[in-house]
Amino acid sequence: MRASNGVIVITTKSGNGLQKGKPQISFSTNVAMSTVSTLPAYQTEYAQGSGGAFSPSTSLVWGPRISELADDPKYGGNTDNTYTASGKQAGKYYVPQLARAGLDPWATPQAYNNIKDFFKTGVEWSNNVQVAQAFDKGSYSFSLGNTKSTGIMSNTGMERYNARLAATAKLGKYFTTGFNGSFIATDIDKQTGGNDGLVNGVYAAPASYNLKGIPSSLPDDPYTQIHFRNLTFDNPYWALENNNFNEKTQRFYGNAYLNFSIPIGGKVKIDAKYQLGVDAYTNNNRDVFGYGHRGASGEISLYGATSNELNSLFTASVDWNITSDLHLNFLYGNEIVNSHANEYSEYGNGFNFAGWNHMNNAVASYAYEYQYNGRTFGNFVNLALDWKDMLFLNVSGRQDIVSSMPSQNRTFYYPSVSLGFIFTEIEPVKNDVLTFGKVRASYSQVGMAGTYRADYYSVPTYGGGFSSGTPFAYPYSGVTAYTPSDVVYNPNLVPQNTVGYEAGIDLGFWNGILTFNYTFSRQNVKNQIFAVPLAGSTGSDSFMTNAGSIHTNAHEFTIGAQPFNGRNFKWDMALNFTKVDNYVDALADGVESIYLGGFVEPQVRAGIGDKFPVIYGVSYLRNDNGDIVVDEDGFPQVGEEKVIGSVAPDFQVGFNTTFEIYKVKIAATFDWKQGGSMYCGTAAMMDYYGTSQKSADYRNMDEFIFELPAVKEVVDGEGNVTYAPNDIKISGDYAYDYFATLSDISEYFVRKTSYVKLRECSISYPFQIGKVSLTASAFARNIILWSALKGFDPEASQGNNNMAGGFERFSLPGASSYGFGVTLKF
Amino acid sequence: MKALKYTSLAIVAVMATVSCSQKALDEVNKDLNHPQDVTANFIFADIPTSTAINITGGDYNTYFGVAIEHWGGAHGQMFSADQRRAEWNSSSTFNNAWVTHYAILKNCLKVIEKCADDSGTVDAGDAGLRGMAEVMFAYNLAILTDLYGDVPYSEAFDYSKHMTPKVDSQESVYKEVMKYLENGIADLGSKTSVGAYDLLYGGDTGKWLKFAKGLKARLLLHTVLKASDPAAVYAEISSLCDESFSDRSEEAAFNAYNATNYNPLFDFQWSRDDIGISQSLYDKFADRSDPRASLIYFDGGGWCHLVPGDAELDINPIPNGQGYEAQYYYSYDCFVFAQTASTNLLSYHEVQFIKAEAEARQGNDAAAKAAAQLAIEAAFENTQASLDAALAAPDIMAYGGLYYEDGDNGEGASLDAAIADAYYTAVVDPLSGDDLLAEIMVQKYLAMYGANGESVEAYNDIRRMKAAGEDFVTLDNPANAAGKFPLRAGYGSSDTTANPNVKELFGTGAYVYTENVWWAGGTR
Repeated sequence: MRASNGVIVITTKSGNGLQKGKPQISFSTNVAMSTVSTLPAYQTEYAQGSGGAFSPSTSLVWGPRISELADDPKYGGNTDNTYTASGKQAGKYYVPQLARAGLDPWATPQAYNNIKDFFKTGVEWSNNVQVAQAFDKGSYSFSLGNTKSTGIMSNTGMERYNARLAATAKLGKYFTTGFNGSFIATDIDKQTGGNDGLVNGVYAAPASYNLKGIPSSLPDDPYTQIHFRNLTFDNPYWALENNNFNEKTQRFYGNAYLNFSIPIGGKVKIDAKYQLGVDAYTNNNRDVFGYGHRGASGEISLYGATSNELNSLFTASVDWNITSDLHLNFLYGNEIVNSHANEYSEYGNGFNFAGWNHMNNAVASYAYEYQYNGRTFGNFVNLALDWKDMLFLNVSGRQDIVSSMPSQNRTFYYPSVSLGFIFTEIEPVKNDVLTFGKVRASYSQVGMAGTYRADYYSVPTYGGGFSSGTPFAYPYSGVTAYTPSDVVYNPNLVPQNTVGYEAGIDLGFWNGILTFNYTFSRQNVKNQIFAVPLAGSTGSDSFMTNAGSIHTNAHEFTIGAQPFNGRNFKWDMALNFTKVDNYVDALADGVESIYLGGFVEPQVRAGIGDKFPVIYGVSYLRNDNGDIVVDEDGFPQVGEEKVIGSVAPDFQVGFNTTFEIYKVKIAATFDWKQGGSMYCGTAAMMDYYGTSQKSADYRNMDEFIFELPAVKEVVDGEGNVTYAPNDIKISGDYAYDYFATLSDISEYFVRKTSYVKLRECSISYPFQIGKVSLTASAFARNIILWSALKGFDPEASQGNNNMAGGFERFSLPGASSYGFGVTLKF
Repeated sequence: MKALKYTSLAIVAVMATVSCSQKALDEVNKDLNHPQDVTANFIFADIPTSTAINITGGDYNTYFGVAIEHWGGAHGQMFSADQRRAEWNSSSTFNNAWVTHYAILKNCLKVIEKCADDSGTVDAGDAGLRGMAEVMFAYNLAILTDLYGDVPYSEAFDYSKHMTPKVDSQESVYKEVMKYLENGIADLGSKTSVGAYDLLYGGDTGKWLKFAKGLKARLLLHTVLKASDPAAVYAEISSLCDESFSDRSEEAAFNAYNATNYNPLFDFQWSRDDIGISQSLYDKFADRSDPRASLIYFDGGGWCHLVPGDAELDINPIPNGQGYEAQYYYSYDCFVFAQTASTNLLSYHEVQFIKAEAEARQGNDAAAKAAAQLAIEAAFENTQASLDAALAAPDIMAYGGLYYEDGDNGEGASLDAAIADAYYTAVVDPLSGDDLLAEIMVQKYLAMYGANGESVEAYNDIRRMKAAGEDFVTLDNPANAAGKFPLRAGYGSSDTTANPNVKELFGTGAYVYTENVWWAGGTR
């Protein structure tokens, strides 16, 4: 069932396969430093203000030149104003925030690189020790590791400990038993991201303001902020000290099994195995906006989950060498998954007094609990036949019964069949050039259950929109309300079904010196289950239903080569090309598109006719010919909402190569993504705020024309409208109005995201010191070599799951890292 | 073989604890976290709350308050709205309100359905509660169609029947509004035991009935230009006003606000700092030497200076449509700090102004003046209440609170009946005929400005006067003359993206500047 989203097979080292004897011990340690990989061009010419006038409290950076601040009529030290009443301050200007901080309010105008100042070097240490040993009747291994890292922002970081234990033992002639288990504990300190994120206050900070140097709070009151703008966004330095987002998780997963294996005659072997596994975790989150957040009294959220999943798996198989050429394996299995989760959330609105950001200090607090149960029964069979190691046939079937579906649609069945043929095993074909050749084809179905719930009522909540907090909450004066849920479920939901066809060819030349693989696959998903956004006029918000059919075409092509394989020089390389295209084939009646993420507008969605995902939102106004039409002042205009960008890349290429010269090993991996785009909120908002270099460049021009090809309306004497190429010049004085206009048009925010990256490059060398072998290595990761998106890491975005990296707005910048490591083996 | 035996036992034990019968799986999938049904009082409890916070006092009030120059836009969306940038013709602008608006209407229908005589629920036959829900349905549906014009109605509120509801004409929707209101008036003759779950009137159906009568007067006034016999309608309006509130204590003022539950205007400004004083409004107060002006405005120095009667006020209003985008630059009024001021679904002063207008339009100057005097007295008291709320705002108090510059905190302000009467005598009493009507409309416009969510109704008045060719209340935004006065709200994006019927009508959104709603002389 879970295979619908791909399968990850985890093989745990159990010490199996080691040579019997003394324990093998290895220890490795790594350190890596991470720094911001790229930053947007930040203008350092103009000061905070609007309309060319300095204003020390606005969010905009459309003030005078920084060099002219001393001549400002209201704040300049060279002019007569309120502040120079007791004497002029030549060459300086008055900074009210410095006055509030109790410092000399007169500052010499200069530019600060507030973005660069804000981020620091993150450090990550990790250590791992592993012990493994094999005996006559069994083996074991265990490992312990820890990682401690600090982020590129202060007071962020992660600490993780993990332990793993596995063992097997032979019990007499037919039985083996074993277990393995892993325990992981993590403790993460984060900061807010996205539109509410604190980097907003960094990227939009005027260069004229010394964000790092001016204290972020009053000298005698650390809870009253000093900031360059109003507190819709906190001062980022204050936020780092006073807001904290902590997540602690502890997880154990593992299983124990008993295997019975008995040969019958010389040709048949019967195996039976029972395995009982568990995956249990607790997750506790504590989100604190400290007293003074947004000039108010703060808030706190505590939430988390305790989850248990029990997995019972029984398999029985028969392995039969029917003839020396024909081999059969038949397997029956039964799987039961039973899960239970308890979730809680507690919210405290406002703290009674400063200095104690704790739930017990909340002005008003609210608590919620949730419980979820799930159960799945699966029965499956698999039949495998192979003939002369040349022809392989596999047939399988599985039936699942899933609790989360409506009762009449809980049971579903899905089969698969595959065939492989190694044609180089045929005698007449065997040769020394094409040493391996295989063709393969398969057909499979995979079913997947969705979630059905009966219509329900819940306590309505307030917030969002313009509200920065929770403006109203029940209970009020002992009264609580319940209203119908705005999320509704289809009582006739059926399981989603994916039919996959795959065909491929694998070729190997000169015993693997050159290899070539190609696979084409097509997946047709029917009855795709998703939450369909409903028109507000239905009174409901979204509808969980079988809403459409989609298909995916994937081409994957790999070439591998090993041009040199000498004693002191080895060189191999591989190139991997993938092209994955997704399309919507049909949508259920009343369903307009599939919403994948984003805002109300713009959003990332999938719709009929476009390779998805796409960005949908407000476009430029265009005429029937498709040309952008500017208004009489030369400004672009708001057009209809439509598809304004394609997130999906045309193709992706990965290339990796390894050189080994004597014992020095050098490896490099490159990634190239071609095509695709994203909604890049940060870049466009920096233009609007006036902190981007582009905004300064436009101000500095005497006049400019709207940056894209466009047309203007020409009206003749009779009122007929024709179009002529846009030649309307906009004065540089109107650059703010220009970018403010563009900020209302989401199409302007859409940027191309092709890139070439050095994903990783490393060098390592092994030493042998007595019986100890030591390998030293150094590496660099995530180096942007070229990107269509200047100043941003095209992979640093929000919601990478559904939105496929198509959305960014004040995300944390991407980071490159550099480091080295040592591995010791005894 | 012992191991085999024990393992078999373990397997059997696991199998036994986890059954896969449909009944067992139904139990596993049961929603333990929510009720599948509740009684009508729990649903009703949120209707006045959500109406006050999201409809009456919410985004509509702020945006249209800027459109009609009750405020200027200093920053962000409100600055854009003042500048007539894309805010008005963008479908995301009113989406939150649009979605909530339909949810409230759906909840009203749910209550009405549960209280039907034959519903078979414990609420069956609770006519009093049903009447309250019918009045709230009419109230909200009227605001919906007043602002959006033609709207999905006959196919709305039930996704299982229509996922893309068709759009109905405003004229037909108004008939439904009146039908529900009449049903409500009939049903409110009965009592109900909803009690504390009615956060507006504590279950007092007598007060609800007065609210319903006043609401009917308001709605008849909206559509009076479409009436075949306007004189008869004005007469009916006037008598409905007499059956409505007898004083401020009976008005439909929602107030569940305190230290953590915010008046929506306060919440907006506390979160955004996007609005400031409107120049044209300030001029109207100044022209009349209005005693309110010296009490409700702050000087430009900051937000802690209330100066009663100070003629030297350093007030910096926003020039309508021509300001800079700048926070803390323009002056504020006290209303944006009125954390616990009521949201008026329908106020006593509005009802008296409706009566004053209806009488003035019938040529009954004396009756019009009598109503106008009551209206002005009530409006002054209402403003004083908001001022008191601002001075006592819990969140502002945590930062030292607002104070009067002369240190005389609380004694200086007194917008009492005597001051109101003196003002009335000077400004309204000498007038007659059309001059009287014009001043009544201006006074209503000034009275509807405040912390109480009454700007949408003032916007309706302005559209109604424009449709009648009357220019009693002048607005100064130069964009209005260039065809950029918003004539309506644009549909919400949840429908423009998911409902082709609405998407088609929305187009590029430019229609908000060109198409009047039906009762204001338009076609849609």
